[in-house]
Amino acid sequence: MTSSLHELEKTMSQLWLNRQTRDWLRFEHSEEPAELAQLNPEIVSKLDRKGAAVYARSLAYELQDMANCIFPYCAKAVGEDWDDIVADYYKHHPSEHFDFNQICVHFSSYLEQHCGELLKKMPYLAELADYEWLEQAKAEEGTRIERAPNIAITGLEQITEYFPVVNQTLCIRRYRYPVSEIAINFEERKRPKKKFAAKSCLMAIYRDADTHHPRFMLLGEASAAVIEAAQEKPTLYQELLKLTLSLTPELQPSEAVLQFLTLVDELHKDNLFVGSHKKEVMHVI
Amino acid sequence: MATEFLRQKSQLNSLGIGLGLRSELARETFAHSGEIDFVEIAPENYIEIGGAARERLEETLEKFPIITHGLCLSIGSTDPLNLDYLARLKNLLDEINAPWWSDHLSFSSVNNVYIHDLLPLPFTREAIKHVVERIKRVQDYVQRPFLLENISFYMYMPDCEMPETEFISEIVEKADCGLLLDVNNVIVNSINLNFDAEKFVDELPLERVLQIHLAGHKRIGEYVIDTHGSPIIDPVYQLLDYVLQRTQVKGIMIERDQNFPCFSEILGELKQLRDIAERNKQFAPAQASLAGVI
Repeated sequence: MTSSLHELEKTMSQLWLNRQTRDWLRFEHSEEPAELAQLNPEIVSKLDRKGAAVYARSLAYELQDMANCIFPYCAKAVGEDWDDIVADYYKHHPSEHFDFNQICVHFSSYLEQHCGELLKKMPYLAELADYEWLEQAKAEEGTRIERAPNIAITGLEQITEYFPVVNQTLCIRRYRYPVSEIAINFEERKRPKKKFAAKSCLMAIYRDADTHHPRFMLLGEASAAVIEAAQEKPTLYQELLKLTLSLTPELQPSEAVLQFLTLVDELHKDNLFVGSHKKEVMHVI
Repeated sequence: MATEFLRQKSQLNSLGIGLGLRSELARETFAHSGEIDFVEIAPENYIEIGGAARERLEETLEKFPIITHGLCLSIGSTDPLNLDYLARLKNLLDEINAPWWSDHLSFSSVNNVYIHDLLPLPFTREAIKHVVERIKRVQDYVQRPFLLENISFYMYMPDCEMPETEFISEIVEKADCGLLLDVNNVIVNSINLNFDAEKFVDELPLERVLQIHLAGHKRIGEYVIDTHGSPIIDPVYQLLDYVLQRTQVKGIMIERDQNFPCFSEILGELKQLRDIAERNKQFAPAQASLAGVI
């Protein structure tokens, strides 16, 4: 009997996407997995197993390689169980997007939901996965970075007349663990540490408007509040300065102003602020 | 028989000799724009993607005509067409003003899950009917000439009712679309599946071939794999020559996706394509242009 097109496609894709049946195809002398019994027996009996194995090997490689490329530090942290975790992730989150890179979008939340034992040993792992995912995601994000004129914010006139334009790819993360420190540890050490104490950090993550590379910037509470205020809606520098003053009561006003101007200058140099507009255009932004 | 597609083909300008745009080769591709007539992009790498990819697309647009060669249309899938993907693809095609676009005669998604590979279809009447209907729908929607590429594959799906050439021919004729003939895929399949490559070509409706792909392949174990990661070998050039003796096309190009060589090697391959095309008097002016001159 001839199988329908849908039945053929469904059966073949199950064979290739299920890890147990895929491995049965890949390894010629392996035993039949129980999962094989759930597939259409007529189609399986007519299968060119050697030819199907070519696809099985290619898919196994591509799926593992994608996770290895996006999450190299998580892979080092997890060690020998990594391949099993990746396979289980794909079982829970098969690709629903035509962009292959998007297949890893749920990995951080998967770790939180399904890897409780692992997170007891490495409670930073889901945050590290989020950090690594954002490195990939920010580089490709479709959002265009719309620059504004580059105005030096040095005196009262600029502070009262202008507002900063925040890099449109920016997101700010509040991590419970020092993820950039953890990432450097896995990047640079031959025998990386795997235990880290909780130490919260605030991080700005965005794409550089010039190089297009993802950037990560550690922030203090006051700096983060200023950036978040500017990101939420167009806000004059003078309002951001007032916010700084209110958040740094321990500083003399003159010191706080100086710190604010230094921060603004650094944010412009680092392309987190991508220019300034005059207040007259606030209503059209 | 004159059809809408063949009328369109006769009026399209020739693009000439081209190269698949890859980020690893982009700088040198731009630097040698005098030796490359057009580029082809994978639309999935540019649809609503920003940053370096977006900048690369804009620079490409300044230097070359661009066509797209998709991976995710999944024309043979029994899933509903992904209209969101199609809409985004159409936006891109409009932006780059692509003279035509293409994808593969395969399926790559089932039950809304993408498999991210080009999987072969069973050569059956049911599959022909299904694919033809879907091609007509995407052509109606996109409103630009559409080409279907013959894929490389490593197994016949169960329950095939006819040879591949009959399957391809019926689809492109009934759907009235074009054929992107990948001569490397023909060679790869002819080795793995043991058939005569020239006979295969003879059985295709060559008048529908608008574009030709060439690439390298590699033997891995028992199979020759379509890697796009090796130099093009002589039998592939010879099959190109064989095809060009029998039909006129509008574009011939190389796909190189990995194991990137010194760019001079790619330029050498492009020169070989140009020589073969010239020897076979390819790239005649479009009929519409001639009429304008006369």
